[in-house]
Amino acid sequence: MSPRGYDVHGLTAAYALDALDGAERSEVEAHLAECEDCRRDLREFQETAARLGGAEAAGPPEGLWEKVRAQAVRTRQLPPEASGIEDEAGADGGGGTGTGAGTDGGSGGGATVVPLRSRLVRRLPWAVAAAAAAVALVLGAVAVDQERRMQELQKHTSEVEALLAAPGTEKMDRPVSESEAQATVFASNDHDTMMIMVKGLPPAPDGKAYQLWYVDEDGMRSAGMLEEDGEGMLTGMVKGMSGAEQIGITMEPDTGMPEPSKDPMKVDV
Amino acid sequence: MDGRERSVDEALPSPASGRTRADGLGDQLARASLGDMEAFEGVYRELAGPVFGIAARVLLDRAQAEEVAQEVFVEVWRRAARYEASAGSVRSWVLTIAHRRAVDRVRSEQASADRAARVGRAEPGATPPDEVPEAVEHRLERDRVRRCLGRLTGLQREAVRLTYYAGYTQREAAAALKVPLTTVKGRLRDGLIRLRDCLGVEA
Repeated sequence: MSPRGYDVHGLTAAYALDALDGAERSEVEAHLAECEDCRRDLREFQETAARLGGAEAAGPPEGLWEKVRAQAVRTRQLPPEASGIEDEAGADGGGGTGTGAGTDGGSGGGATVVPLRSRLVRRLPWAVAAAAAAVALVLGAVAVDQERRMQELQKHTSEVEALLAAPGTEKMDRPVSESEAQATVFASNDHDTMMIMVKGLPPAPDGKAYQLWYVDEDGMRSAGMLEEDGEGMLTGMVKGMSGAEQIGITMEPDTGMPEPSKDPMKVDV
Repeated sequence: MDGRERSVDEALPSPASGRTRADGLGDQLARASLGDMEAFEGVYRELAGPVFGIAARVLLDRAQAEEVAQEVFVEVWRRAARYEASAGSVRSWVLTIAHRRAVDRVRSEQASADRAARVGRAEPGATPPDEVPEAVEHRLERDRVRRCLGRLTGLQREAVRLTYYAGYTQREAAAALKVPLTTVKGRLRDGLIRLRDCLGVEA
C-alpha cells in the first residue's frame, strides 16, 4: 500500500513513541489525516506516552522560568489555525470557480503561499528583502537546522508580503524621537500587524538589542525585539497593537525585558 | 514480596488525577494564548517537572535538558492558540512536544557509538533519584508506571525503553535487540496497548 511496502496503519504506536525516522513520520502524518480510528489510537497512545514521560518528572533547574519568560516576552504568538492572512486568496477571481462558498473544510494544512501582488509588494521588494535578511541573520546565529531555517524564513517572508499586500496597509515615514533615526512603518488594521524598519540607530553592543514597546494609556508592554540585518537596518514585526498610538524603542539585554529599563524613544503610528 | 506488592496496587486510587488537572491547564493555556503571562506561568509550574524530567532522561545531560525544556515552553507559548483539546490533553500535548524535541536533538547531535555508551549506562528504572519531587502523588504515579512497565514481556519493555526513553528509532531498536524490524513494530504496538490498559488511559 505505501511506497515502502509496509502498513502505515500499524505505525501509530511507534509514531506516538517518536520511534520513526523523518520519512516514516511524514507518511504516518499523511495517513492520520485520513484515518479517524488512527487518530483515536494516537490520542490514547500519546496520553500513555505522556504518562511514561511524567513518571520521569524531575525538579527543573533554578532560574529556568526566568529564562523561559524572558524569551516568551519577545516571542510572537501564533494566531489560531484559521488566520486572517488567507483572506487575501479571494481577491482575484482568476481561479475559475470564484470565491463563493467560504466553507473551509478542505485541505487545512500546507498554507501554500498565495502569490500576492499589491502596489506595495511591487514597489517595495527591498522591504521584504530587508525583513527577510534580518530574520535570516538571527536564524543563522542560533544555528537551527537548515530545513527549519528555510521554513521560518519562508513563513516570515510570506507574512511580510501578506502585510504589504493587504489592501488597507499604510506606509508611514516617521522620525524616531530623541535620535537622528528614521522609521518606516507599514501598518495594517485588517491584520492588526505592523512592520517597523528603523535606520540610523547606533548598533547595539554584544549582549544588547533594541526592544519594541506598545505605548498606550495603560502604559507600556513588550512588542518584541528589533532584529538587525547587519547593514544597520533594524526590523520588527508587531502584532496585536490594538489601541497603541506610539511604539517605544529601548536598548535592553538581548533576551528582552518585561518592562523598559528607561524612557523609550518613540515613534508615532 | 510479589504478592504483597500486588495488594498495595489494588488499593491505589485510580489514575484520574491527570484528567482533573488537565481541565485547569486548558483554561490556563487558553489565557496564555492571549498573552497572559501569569496564566502561562501556571502552565509552566505544572509541567516544568515532567518536561525537564523526560528531556533529562532522553538526553542524559542536565544542561541540554534545560535548553530543551526552555525551547519547549517557548514553543508552547508561541503555539498556545493552536492547541486543540480534541487531539488530547494539554499535558499530553506539551509532553509530546518535549519528547519529540529531546529525541530530535539526541539523533542529530551524536554519533551513535557515543549514544549507545550512554544508553548502556541508563538501566531501566535506574533514573537518579535526586531532584525528583517526592510528592506522594508523584511517587504513586511513578510506581504505577514502573509496575505497568514491569508487566510487559521482556522484549516489549526493551522496545519501549529503547525508543521512548533512549530515543532510538524502531530500526535502531531492532538492530540493538538483534530481532527483525517487524518484531519490534509488533512489540511496540502490543507493549503500548498493554501499558495503556494497565494505566487506565482513556482518550
